[in-house]
Amino acid sequence: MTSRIEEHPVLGKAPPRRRLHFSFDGETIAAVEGDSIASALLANDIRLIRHARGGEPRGLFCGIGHCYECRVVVDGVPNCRACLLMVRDGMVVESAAGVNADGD
Amino acid sequence: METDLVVVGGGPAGISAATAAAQEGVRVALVDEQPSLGGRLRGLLHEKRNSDGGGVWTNGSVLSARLDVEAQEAGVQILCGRGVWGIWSGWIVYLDGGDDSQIRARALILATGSTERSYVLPNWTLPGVLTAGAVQSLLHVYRVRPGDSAVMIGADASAVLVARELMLAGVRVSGVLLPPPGTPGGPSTGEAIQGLARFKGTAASLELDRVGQLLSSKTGVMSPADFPQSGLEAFDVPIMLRSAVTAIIGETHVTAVEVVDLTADGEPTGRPRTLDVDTVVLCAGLSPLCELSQMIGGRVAHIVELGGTVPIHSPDLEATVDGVFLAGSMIGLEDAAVALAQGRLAGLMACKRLGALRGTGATERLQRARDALAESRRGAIPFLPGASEGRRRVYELWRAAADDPKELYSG
Repeated sequence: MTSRIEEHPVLGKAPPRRRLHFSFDGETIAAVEGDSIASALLANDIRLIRHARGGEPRGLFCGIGHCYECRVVVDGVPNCRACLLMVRDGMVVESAAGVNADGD
Repeated sequence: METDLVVVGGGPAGISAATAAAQEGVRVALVDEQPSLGGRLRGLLHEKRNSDGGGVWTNGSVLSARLDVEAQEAGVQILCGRGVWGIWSGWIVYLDGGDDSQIRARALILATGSTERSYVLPNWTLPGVLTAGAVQSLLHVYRVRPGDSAVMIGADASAVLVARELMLAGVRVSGVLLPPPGTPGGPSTGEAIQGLARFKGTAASLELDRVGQLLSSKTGVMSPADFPQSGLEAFDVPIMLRSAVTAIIGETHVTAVEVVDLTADGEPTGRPRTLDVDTVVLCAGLSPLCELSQMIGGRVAHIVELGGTVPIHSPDLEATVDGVFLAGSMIGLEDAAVALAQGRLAGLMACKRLGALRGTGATERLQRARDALAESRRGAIPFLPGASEGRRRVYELWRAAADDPKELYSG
């Protein structure tokens, strides 16, 4: 299970952050301001972000935009990196499966 | 858009370069692909020993927030969420992700950092397998646990540091284990012991110092035969250098790993067992990123002691291309404290090249930046044992290029 770290022994309590919502493959996902798409999905225990061409599951890997494993379709724009893009309220995010014709 | 200096890369080296240059009165644009400044510094959290022997936390997100404020106060134009896809002579820096996609500048500083390597083993692409750096940013920037229970594959400094960071965040760490025997770039038991034992006495990290002490004996470094099969414990993390993860198990995400014990000679022994974990952290080390430097004609050299292929540079951080300066882990994998000091020196050198390092004390400021860089290495975590020898070779290559104008490229 993944989860948010509300209390940290060194960093202290998480600061209060505005709540945001977006959709991922039609499901409403609760996020907080400052979340990347990837961190919000993980905080909701969603680790499978897309499928590769052969059907293999893929998720967040490098977290800094280099590996492109976490690419998703955001408001119709393909090949967006979920680790780099911050959540905006009302954003529509879709798994790249089947949409991203050139992806593998 | 037009400016005097473009700095590519908003980690500690790039921010400090941009701020130093802006404080000299130069117009500076600082570009980074991430949504905020700080780079890998934002994910750091470890304890260093202070003068009375106690611990004090090095908190990368607090440090990078402070650097961000300093850059803004110095008047640096910050462009985050923008990737640089090309640089043309002159210089024209091309950006993606928005309007105003070209910046013209008279000088450049490249501080593009490094990327993480991977170990390739069965199922390494399953969701739940993350690099050490991805885990650090999840824990400390986004404050999300990647799972309940993790195993670290690779037994380097980052494996030890990130294992403790996971424990602090409430994620159980089953152990720090080796990659499968024979994995390219993967250490043997003996190499892992050697690699970690040399951190004994490192004041910059209590974690690495502790592991270094565990692996040292009165006569030197522990032999693989003396390393206990069940592991040694540091900060409640089992350091298991006589065990290797041979496969990752799971359908849609990680549910376990297969583990095998190793003889002192590194041969698998006994029946493989499974360890239930939902997170696998790959700790395969870093590679400097020098593509942009190569794109503009900068020469590179493969220097193992600096962590891989790095741009050739002078002690004053000049590239082999006129008007281009370099800083941070792209020129050698070192501590963030070193990157900060390099950034300041590169920033002042760029100002000098632009004729903007003027006024009272300009020469002294430059000399102080050189001295501060040398000083920063004394207190830093020594990630690569042969770094000073590696730098000596890079400086020789730079001098050879400087002596032969054919080898130098003028942008």
